[in-house]
Amino acid sequence: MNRRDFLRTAAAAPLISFVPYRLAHAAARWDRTLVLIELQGGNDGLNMVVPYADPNYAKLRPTIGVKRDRVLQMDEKLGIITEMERLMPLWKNKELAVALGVGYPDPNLSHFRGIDIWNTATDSEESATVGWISNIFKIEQPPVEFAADGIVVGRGSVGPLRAPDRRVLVLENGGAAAMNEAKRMVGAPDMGGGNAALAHVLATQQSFKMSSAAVLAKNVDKVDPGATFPAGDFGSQLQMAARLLVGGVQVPVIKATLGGFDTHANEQNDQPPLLAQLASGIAAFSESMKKHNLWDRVMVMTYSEFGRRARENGSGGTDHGTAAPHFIAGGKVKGGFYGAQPSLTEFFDGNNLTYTTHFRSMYATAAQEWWGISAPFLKEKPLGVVKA
Amino acid sequence: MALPNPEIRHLLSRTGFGMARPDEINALSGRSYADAVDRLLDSVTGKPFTTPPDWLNVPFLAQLEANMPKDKRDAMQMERREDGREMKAWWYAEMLNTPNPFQEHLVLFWHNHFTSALNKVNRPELMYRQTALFRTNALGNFEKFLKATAKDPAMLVYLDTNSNKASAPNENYARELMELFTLGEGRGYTELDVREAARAFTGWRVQVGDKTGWRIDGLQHDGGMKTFMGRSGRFDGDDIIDIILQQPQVAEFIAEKFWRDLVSDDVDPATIQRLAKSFRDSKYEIKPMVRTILMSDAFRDPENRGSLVKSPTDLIVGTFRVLGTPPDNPSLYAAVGRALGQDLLDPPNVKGWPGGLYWIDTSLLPARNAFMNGVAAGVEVQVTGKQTLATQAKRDMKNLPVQALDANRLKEMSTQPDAELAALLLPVPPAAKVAGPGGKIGSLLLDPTYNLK
Repeated sequence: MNRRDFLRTAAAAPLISFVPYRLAHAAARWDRTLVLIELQGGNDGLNMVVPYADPNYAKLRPTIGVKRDRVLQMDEKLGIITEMERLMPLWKNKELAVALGVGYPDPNLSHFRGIDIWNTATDSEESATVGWISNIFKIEQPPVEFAADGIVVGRGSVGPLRAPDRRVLVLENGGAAAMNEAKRMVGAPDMGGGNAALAHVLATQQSFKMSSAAVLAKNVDKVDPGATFPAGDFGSQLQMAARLLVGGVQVPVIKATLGGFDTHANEQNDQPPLLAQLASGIAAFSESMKKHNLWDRVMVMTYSEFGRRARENGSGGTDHGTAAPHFIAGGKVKGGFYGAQPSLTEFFDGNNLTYTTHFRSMYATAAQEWWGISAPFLKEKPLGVVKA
Repeated sequence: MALPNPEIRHLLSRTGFGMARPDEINALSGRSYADAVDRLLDSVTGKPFTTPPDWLNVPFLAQLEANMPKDKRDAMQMERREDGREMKAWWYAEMLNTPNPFQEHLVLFWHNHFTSALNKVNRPELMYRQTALFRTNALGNFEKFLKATAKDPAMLVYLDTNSNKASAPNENYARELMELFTLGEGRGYTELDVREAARAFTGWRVQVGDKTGWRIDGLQHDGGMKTFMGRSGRFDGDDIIDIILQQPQVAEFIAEKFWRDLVSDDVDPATIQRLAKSFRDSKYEIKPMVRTILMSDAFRDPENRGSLVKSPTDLIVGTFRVLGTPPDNPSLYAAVGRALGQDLLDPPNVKGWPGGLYWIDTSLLPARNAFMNGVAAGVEVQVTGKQTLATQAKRDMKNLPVQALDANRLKEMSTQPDAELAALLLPVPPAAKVAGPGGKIGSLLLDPTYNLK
């Protein structure tokens, strides 16, 4: 081999084989998966984690307020509604953290703008395109041998994973469509070259092929997750998430979506069944993970575009509001409350709750505490939820 | 059919929706390139080809909701949602049917610049009115256009000017006016400028039931002294715009945006500055600047063909203009656009769609491919005439009926030599032989280069 031949071979070989991976990225914990659950429509936190001991609660919500006998006590002030009882074992076992009053300054009460802010982790008046997780992955790239940078189970958007060069698989309805497309592409030749736009199309096609092949290879639809998931679309999404992880698909983020939280009217009828699905879905997921010794390697986190107004409206519902509590669960999670419950007397802009925990501190928890990646753009301190 | 004139094909695909029909290419092929460009520019008349939806005849905002009983308000909201869907469908029909796609290309360009979204404005008739403003000013005078958008009812609602008052100024419009509409983020203005500009637009309101659509509420307007970009005076909104337009960055910002839309993401600062200077010297006439771009060597360079990514709108409208029939149910096309990442009239945020490489990622590309696979299956059905569309292909085609594809045209096309067909359907030679339905037409539709223009 002469020098020119050697250079050609070296240039063609994948760069990664020359860089000892663990050495180059000693800090990042890629054996850990973040499972995001988007509560679409703006979840009413006050009727989920109920401030039952605060007399103002009943005053603000004379008709739709959750009565004391329908609250499962978490401490002397707060409790979840009985529909969420399947979360209580996790709470008692200190595997469930509740971040209280999560929001941000100058909140936006539009669904669209609201979720945009949550997806991109910007300040209220700033617009951006790239999702917050993709920005973390720009700082530390997940291993190339992983199936994907993220998998979306269900109909939701890629939201926090958005970026043109991220490897994100969308597995709607158990992934049938994506897998069909993947099978179609298996025969397509690998190609390169052309202008920058064509190179991008081909590289994306190649990424998709590799990601979906990695999932296909694990035969995840045959995997027994070892738990019974609640009926319905959300339960199927979390079942898919469990199958992926039990089946050995390596991926740092899985995102699921539960919709229907825009409860302007008849909230008493509409919200509790959704919360029951949420609770039993998370409970089944944790059961599956525990059975396969994976619970220490997953962290479940909920989010929503906003909370709802403290005072009920005239239609038995609540209008768009601001801060709300969110759950973080996992084997490495230190259970308990984080932050302060917002006041029910001191509002701004007409009975909107004042946030007490910045939403980006949940994201900083994911970046810093969970993956061990320092992400200064998030500007907030992590909550201190993850065990050492 | 002979090989389509590649330069005219390129001109039409970049100024239209990523493709061109043989008859459109032939109509411009017999003349000089400069003449073809001028014919295109002159086709932008400001008038739509399709009859506007009839609900537009209801005087806009004639009814206000605040004091309405609940059941009436709910009924009206339902009607608005329906009108909103019709508005989106109407625009697709216009894009698919118009003999002047350049005009609708420009309306979409301005929709993505002076963004407003139906989901916030919540009044389809105001969104129609705004796109009509884009249509009449598409290649007009930018100063006049910018001032009209500041008073446009949909814009007044979308960026909260309508609730901007002296006692509590709302900075939303003032900030985007500089950041997104004229100067570019952080280019030549300060936070103080944003606050002072916001004061100048206080009291600007949507005028109910009036053709102008705009008024000043004197009680809410702050008529005091403002200091803006180093100047002081009792400025109102128009004064603020005049001062902004004196900044050279405006012409650079707009010229660059057109360059990225029409030519390439490869931007040469010296070229932009030359374009910007003549744009300013012409007192912001848009048409001559666009003409200069279309006449430029960079635009005409054969290497430049196929260097831009088609938007979902390009993919859908271009495909069905070339292969399809006039749509029976244009709302189906709007649904495809949404699935592929471009919900027209509902951009993701005030910045609009980022476009370019963002149109293609690992979640959107399979969706595009699946859709094109459905179309290719539809082509096969129409050309062979012997099967019905398979269930999976129906799903892939997102419920568009196979009749949306023109059987006669496809049969004729399928008899053409491969080279001619490729030169018609693709901007550059095919990148791969892709196996799939639809014979040689299908294999071109499924080629990776079909995503380019």
